[in-house]
Amino acid sequence: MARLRTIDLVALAALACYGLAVLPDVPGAVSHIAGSVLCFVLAGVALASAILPTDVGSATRYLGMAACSLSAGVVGGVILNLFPSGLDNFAWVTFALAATLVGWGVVRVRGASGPVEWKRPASPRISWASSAKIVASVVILAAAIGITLSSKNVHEKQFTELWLVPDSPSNSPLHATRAVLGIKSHESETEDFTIVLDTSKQTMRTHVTLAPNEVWTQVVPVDGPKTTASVYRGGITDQPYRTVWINSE
Amino acid sequence: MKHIEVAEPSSGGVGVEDRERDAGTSDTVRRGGRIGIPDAVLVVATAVLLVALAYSRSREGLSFAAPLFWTGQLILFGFVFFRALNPTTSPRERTVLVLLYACAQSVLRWAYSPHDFGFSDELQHLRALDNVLTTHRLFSMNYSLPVSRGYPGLENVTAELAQVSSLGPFGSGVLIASAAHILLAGCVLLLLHEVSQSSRLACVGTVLYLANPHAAYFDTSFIYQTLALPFLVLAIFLAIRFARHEQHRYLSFAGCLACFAIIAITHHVTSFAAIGLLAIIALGTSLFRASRNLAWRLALCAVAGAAVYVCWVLPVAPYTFDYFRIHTGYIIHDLIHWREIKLSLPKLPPGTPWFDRILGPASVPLTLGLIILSIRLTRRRPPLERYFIWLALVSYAGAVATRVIVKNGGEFAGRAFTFTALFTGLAIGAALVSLTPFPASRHHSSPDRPERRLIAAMAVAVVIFLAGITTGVPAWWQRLPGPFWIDSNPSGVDAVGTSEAEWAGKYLKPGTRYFGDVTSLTLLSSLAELDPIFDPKDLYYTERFTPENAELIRAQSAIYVDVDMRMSQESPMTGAYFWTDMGAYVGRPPLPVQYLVKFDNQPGLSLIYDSGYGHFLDMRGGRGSPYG
Repeated sequence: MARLRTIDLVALAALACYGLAVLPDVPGAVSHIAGSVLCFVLAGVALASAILPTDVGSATRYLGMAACSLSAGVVGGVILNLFPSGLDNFAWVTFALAATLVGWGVVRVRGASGPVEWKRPASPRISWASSAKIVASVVILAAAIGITLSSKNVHEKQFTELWLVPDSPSNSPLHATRAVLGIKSHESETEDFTIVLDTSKQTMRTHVTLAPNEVWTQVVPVDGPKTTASVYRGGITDQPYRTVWINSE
Repeated sequence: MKHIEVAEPSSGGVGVEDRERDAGTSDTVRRGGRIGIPDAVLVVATAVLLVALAYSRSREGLSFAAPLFWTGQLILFGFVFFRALNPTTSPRERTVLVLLYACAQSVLRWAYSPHDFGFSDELQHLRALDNVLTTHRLFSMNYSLPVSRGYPGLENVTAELAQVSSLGPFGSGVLIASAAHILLAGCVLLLLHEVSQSSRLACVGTVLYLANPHAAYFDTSFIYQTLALPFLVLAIFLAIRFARHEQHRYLSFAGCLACFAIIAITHHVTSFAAIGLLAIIALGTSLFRASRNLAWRLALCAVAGAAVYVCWVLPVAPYTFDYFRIHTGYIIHDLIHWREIKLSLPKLPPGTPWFDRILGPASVPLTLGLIILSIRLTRRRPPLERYFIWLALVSYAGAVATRVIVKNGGEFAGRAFTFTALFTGLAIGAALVSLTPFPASRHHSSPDRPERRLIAAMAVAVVIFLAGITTGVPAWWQRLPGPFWIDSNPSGVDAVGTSEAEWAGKYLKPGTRYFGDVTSLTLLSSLAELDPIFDPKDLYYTERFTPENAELIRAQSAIYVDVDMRMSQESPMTGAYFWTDMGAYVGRPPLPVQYLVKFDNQPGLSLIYDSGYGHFLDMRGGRGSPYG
């Protein structure tokens, strides 16, 4: 019986990951992880094993894996673009499986003259002090990531957007009969707005209350030469907060 | 102190045993090494925390952001460089340090804008990525960067990650850019080791390479050059191995061609740079008797690389030749007519700190001096290393000359430093390594104090590192994220502009042509797929809407005009509001408000969007409009 090599395990793992990535009943998270491992780890390992000389150092080997992994994606996109399905999840994992199996085959063929063995590095001797430093580093890095993600940009302005866009394929105001009236609040807190629409023939008022980042839209008629929409903060005052218009004639 | 085994010494790559001057390292480490990899990880993590804290405090408008930033950056570079240069550090630890440094740069690049892409080049590639994710096809039109549609390498691999994982486009883009940057550091390490046959010099040179002005931000961003760069370095490395070593010769050649193929699919400028660099190396090696035997094989790689590129570009992106012809035409014209050009240093925006004013210019003679010193000190080094050092002198001087002579030479020179740093990193590293030899032969009574030499070398390296920050991107006013600076890149991108672009993407027809300021061109073309017009001539420089304005709009088939009213309140630090700005100069005042409100007052135009800051007008209408 032929000796099972590390590269054989890579091929078996690729088959397992492929199954997990494409089978319909597998939970999404598992499927995503399996697909990512197949495309970005196993394909890289197999291709690097296939093309690297057998006597390279471990650092070079890892660099080769990373380079092969990225290269497979670059070339894979061009190849998949030739197929009717194009670039999608199924195509990518199938391509990665094919690349892994091709790599495995090349390694097996090369095995007669010089097998590529992925030796496990010698077990590190880590003292408790070194362990503590590594743990502290992970905690510090996690803190850096947490601080970064939680920081808010106080320099961002608060504002409200108002729009009136002709509702036609070309969005042309000329001879428009309908338009989309919309408002989006970027204020710091929930606000009341009064919207006044003047179509030259009729005037409509609407009161809306918007939370930050909330959007309100409505299709409105355009039945005069100039349609104007104004928004007021709270009730109607002398100066509208925002004004838009379309000249349809 | 015990060391963690992270990589075995090997015979063929980075972990290879160095020649005689590195031979005593392991013994020296046992005697004098007091710092190991866990300590390095701890120090690097602490430095990352300090800079991330600086970014966070800057966004939140809190104090001490700048001191935290500089402290973190100095600790990060200072520690890594000191350990890499120190003769007592083991080759394995040096390798880990270099890769850690690249990792730290990637984390800090993400920490600068942690939620969305804000850099204009990244937004352009985000458009290309969104096109792939939406259509599942390559080569879609990208109005924000038309030339990029024939170079989908970055989008391919990022779309792969986005589609097989649950990460979105932003997370996938950041991860791929980070992986490419770390790979770049490893590839530079391989190349410099191959050239110098010294792990110490290779590591020192790589750290110096990573201190070049574009390395920490531009070359770590989600842009096509980031992915192409490691393959450029790998192509040169494999070409040299092909020329030098009998063993695995044809495997090296095949690998070199494969790298050229990856570069060709990914980035046109890097393709040209790779071919050009290999050709120059081949030419140079033919001039030295000791390296003449390498020349024809290196030339063969350059020619084969060019053939690979032509095979890609002719059927897929033939328009690239026009792109190059236009841009190189400017450079060649200015270089030929350099006597007619008024030589002057670029004018800096008002308020530029003295630190930023001095370090850039000061680093030029320092770098040139170090390169010349390394030429003197390394006469007995391998011929290829000596040639690389000569190339450092020529390429660096050329980049500086381009900076001074060519109009807008700053951008060209900045791009060039990414490639010249491969040589300058080695040259400066060679000088500093030569100044700090191994202490093994020193007797305790010797008056020589290697510690002092080490400190002096550190001081020189820190100056070069700081010059890299001050001359690189982002510029000093946006070195810390948060505050808005009109029409700056990336600090001109804020929620006002982004939200407007998202609105346009939802409601307006893709491909419609429009005028706008610098930030508007980036945001609306990338997020809304509108077609930008780069030269507004005097459209924003007249008090009233003139017949010439209307004629320009008709001539350009423009439908929309985007007006950021903040142009009447804030001056651009770069001096330009528009891509081609007839009124551009550094220190200019804001535009008079009547130049901007004239659009609102013009009969026939439609103001279809108003955010208080952004006014978006439709030029189609009745009497008074350009198309009326």
